[in-house]
Amino acid sequence: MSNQTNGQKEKMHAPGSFVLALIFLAWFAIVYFTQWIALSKNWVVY
Amino acid sequence: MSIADVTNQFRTCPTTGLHVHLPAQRLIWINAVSAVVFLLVGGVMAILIALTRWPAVHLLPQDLFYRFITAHGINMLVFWIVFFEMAGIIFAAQTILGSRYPGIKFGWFNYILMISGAIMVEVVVFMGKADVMFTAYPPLKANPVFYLGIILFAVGALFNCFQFIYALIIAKREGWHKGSLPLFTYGILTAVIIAIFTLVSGAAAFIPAFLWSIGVIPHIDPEYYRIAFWGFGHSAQQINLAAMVAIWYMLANLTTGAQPVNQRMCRWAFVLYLLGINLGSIHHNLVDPGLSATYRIFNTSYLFYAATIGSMIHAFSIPAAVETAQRAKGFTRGLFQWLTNAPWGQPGFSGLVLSMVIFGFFGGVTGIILSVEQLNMLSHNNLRVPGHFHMTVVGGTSLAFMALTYYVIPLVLQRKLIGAKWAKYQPYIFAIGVMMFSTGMHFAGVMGAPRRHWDVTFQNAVIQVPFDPAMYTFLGLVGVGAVVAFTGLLIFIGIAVLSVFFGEKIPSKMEPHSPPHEVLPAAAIAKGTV
Amino acid sequence: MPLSTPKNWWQPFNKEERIWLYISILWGIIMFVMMPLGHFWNQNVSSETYKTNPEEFGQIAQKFIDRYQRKDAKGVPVTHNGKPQGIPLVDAPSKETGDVFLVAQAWQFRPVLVMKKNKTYRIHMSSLDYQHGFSLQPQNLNLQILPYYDFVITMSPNETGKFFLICNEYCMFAGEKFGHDSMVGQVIVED
Repeated sequence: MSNQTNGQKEKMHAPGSFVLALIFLAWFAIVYFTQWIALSKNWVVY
Repeated sequence: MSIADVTNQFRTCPTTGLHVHLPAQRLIWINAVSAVVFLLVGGVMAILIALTRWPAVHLLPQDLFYRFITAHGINMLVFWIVFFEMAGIIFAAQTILGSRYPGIKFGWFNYILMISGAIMVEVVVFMGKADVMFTAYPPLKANPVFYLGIILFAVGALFNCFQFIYALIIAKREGWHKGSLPLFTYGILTAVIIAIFTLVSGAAAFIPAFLWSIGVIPHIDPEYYRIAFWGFGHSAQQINLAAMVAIWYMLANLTTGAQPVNQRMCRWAFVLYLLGINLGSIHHNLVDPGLSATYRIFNTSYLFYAATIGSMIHAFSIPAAVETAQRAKGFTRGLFQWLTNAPWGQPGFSGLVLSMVIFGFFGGVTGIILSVEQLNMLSHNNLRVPGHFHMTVVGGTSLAFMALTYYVIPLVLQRKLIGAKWAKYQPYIFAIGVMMFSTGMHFAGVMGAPRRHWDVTFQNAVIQVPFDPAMYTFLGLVGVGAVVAFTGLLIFIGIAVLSVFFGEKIPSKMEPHSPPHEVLPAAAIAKGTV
Repeated sequence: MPLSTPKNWWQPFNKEERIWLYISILWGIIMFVMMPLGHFWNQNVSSETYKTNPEEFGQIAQKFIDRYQRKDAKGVPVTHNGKPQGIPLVDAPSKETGDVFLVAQAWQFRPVLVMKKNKTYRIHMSSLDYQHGFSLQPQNLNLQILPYYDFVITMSPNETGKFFLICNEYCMFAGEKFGHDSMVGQVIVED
């Protein structure tokens, strides 16, 4: 995949959206792992 | 019918310059109007149900409650959404490509199949002969007309899907359209491919069930039905997802002029939906007897997360497109000026953002969690499940469909909007209501409230079941949120119905339109000069 | 443009698109790995299942209840509320001694099981009519009970107290009164 080869560091075209996407990922991870912790408090079914 | 006859059936849209094939426009009209009628029926059921689950109000008696849940599920998940999607696929194949829509009579035949099936189901459900919920799990047995109606509806929809694909072929072959499919039509094509798989799976569930209900087969295995049904049921949601995402791109473009920065990623993301859908439906069967752990894990995650990755790509790609378009207009200050100066007053934009946020942050995340093999034990069949899917299907898909309708009415159905001022607020009102009741459902379910249950106080039970008192507060939130959402729904339906029937007609020039590109001659193909 | 034919859409990815794509794929892998990991941590849904039918399961369960039902000082069988029409109360045998049978039937979970803390039990569950939902409260542990399938779960209670079973799979039909939403059962754990 070719990058811009103008010598400068490649600029982000949509930094705001990138930040929003990272916020979404952080939210996703927090909710996801909270659920696992909740499950671990239950009876162990095996 | 020759191309010369068809040429004179086109009008040119004054706003977009797109060529609309008038017979197809009539098909779009009938499917879209039918969709909204079923939305209204389903919506009335919804408010009555919500006010029953709110223990302080407890509106409906027991039998009507279960009957109306059945009716609500079918009207919303099947009739409203699918009729709207039928209108959408005709639009995607005909109007976006500027092609003629082949087989208009066939399109009407399919509509008649679908509406007949729908009316059959409505009648038999409201008569009380099919209180089996939308899922109709055997050994619960409904009246045979119930299964037959659903099968007829599905056949009509399946034929419409084939017609869509044929329309794409005709567009290419007769020279109406050349080159890659526009992104919107590409997204809708993935939705249609998923739909074909979905409907075939539905046949595998409903045809045996129908035969069982008339006594031709003596017994239907409950687990077989569950797996076949959810092969249909979950994949149907992926159709809605692909259609919703395609609509997101369209709304972003209509409201801000946004174009995807790099269509390669977007198109691959749609393909990931295709790869992931036919697995993944086993998350409905994670706590069923008889399935091995390996099967559950593989099916519910390996390729399913491929579909999740597809969604995550769109989650970035659409805001990035909006941001790029806004920055080009000069809103470059800081990280978010492009967002604060976006057209929040336009229902297409607010609907787009609200739909994405509710679907992504809330619906999608809760959905992934519910579908983890181990976590499912905490959530199967309690109110968390409807909490999740109302966030996705109502706050996500339905809201996006509503936002699109505000553009379909003037652009395709040629009517000026009545109540456009209300349209500005409707997405917000609806979104707030949906978040309120879905959140209420989620937390009530976390505390143990079962779904499809008339009375969580268990007043008639021989053992008193004590729940956390906070659960009742959340059920109250369900009731209050439903009132707000229902208000938003009525505003939408009011605007839609008034505009379609009484709105000022927007004139449009009838302009003959014939294929602008060369028809591919067979000889040239054979020689290799094409 | 979503509405128009793209001229040439096969372009290389931008920097942030690439980064986000890699992050998304990584997150997908993490989520996938969590499930097999959950297996190692013993948080699984059971898969042990046998084919059965309502008649056979009903008979086995009745024999089980007759054998293990608690009797009071006078030799009268004990039920959950002391009255003869109540749900039979059964002292469940731990897995070294025998298997436990739980019947889901419109509209009751039968019998009421009395278990001992930290002992392990093998519980067979099936339905005699419709599909039912096994929902243990307040743990909020949910499983599906189907007719013709004998679902075996192995569990070991780690706290004492009275727990409740509610049915969360719709299991009634038109005109049947006081059904699905009054279907309850009970599990009692003693020291």
